[in-house]
Amino acid sequence: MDIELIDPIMLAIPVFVVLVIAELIYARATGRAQFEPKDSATSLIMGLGNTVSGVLFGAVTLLWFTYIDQFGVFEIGYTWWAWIICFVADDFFYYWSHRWAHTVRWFWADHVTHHSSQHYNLTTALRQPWFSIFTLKFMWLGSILILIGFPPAMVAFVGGLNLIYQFWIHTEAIQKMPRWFEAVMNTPSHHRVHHATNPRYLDRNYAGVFIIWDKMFGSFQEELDADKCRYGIVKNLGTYNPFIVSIHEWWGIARDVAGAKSAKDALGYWLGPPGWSPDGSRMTSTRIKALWAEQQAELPQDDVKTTAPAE
Amino acid sequence: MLVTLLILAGSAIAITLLVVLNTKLGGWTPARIESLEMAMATLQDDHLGFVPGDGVLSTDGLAALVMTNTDDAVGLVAARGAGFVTRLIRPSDKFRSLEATDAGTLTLALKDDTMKPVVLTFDTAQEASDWAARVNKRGAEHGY
Repeated sequence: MDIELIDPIMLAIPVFVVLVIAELIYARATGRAQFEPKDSATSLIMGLGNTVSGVLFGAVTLLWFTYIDQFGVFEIGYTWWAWIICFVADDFFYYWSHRWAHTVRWFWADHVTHHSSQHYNLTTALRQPWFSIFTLKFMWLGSILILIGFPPAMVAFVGGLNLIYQFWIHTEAIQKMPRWFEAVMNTPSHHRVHHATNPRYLDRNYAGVFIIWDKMFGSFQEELDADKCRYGIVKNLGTYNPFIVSIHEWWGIARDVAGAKSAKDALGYWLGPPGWSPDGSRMTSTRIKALWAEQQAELPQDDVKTTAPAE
Repeated sequence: MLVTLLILAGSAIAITLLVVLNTKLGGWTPARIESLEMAMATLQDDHLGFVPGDGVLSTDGLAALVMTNTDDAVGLVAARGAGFVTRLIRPSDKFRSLEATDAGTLTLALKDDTMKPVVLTFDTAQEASDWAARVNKRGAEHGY
């Protein structure tokens, strides 16, 4: 059966706009969230650019998915259980894709744009890359579910639902959800940790919808009252220009690879972790965390930040 | 095609209105570096292991330079919107320009496409010139 499904993200856009307005008003009234006009503009323009990029490059992805559909191992139809399995499986693959987006510079070059704001509000959710096509992830990671046998339209639809879920968690307006919800689902608190550059929080909480993946694969970190999130990236950007935000890390890779002294170094600059350099003069997240752990170990016990979770 | 263009136009209008609303509502405070200690703490937060030496705060509170005693780096803090952007300028880093003026300003432009030139203001032209020389010296020793 070949059916055509609507794009859930297009339907969700008006809801996104209403929620951004609501959060803006809430921020002004309570001071519990912050919006900065230039930063908001950059995020929103990048969201629009991402949509345009999706239209321009979407045909390539569509052609690829249509082509590989014939190689599906099983023939899974549009049954109710297939939707559920597809949604959960898509979230599982999202977790790994997202984890690699933080640990492989080639993918980070694309994803860094989403983390480049020093604010954390609903517009940050819309700050999305323009050149995702360069990662070619759709050709392998995005193809797994289709090769298993899920219909491409179903895969695209649940992928859209996953992204819609992730919109509302980009907020400081909600502190904690009920305990059972925090245990299973990705929440604003969990995702604030993900967007924070505090060494303790770096490269944690990669989940899309279900936080259980982080708990299963050792990347979970609770938000702590004593360690208030500082948002952005390790080397924050001094520009609001959406084009520079989009391309700066791609450009950085190109420059580093061009100046590499050997093929091994070039490969490291391209596929190594962000911050990798042959002489170790730059800092990867792993090194930052290790250095921070050393510093914590040397501190008097009273000065060590507590591990009590945020309320 | 027409529908796509209409959606794009509608989105552009929505973005404009949201930013106008954001501007009207306010709710954010432009960042200022209140003291040299604050600049040092910001650098220490952003660059683990940074040990501050002496430094200087721009008279407008929008930027600061902090030397480090442990290596050849110079810490730069610049206010940007509601937050701060920091850079550790190492001898291997390049400047586009480093210029002190008679008006007591020091303009520091890094070869960093993600960072606009930073202007520090000083009480005197001599002070601006001295700091330019200090930053210049650290780089010049290493041939930037």
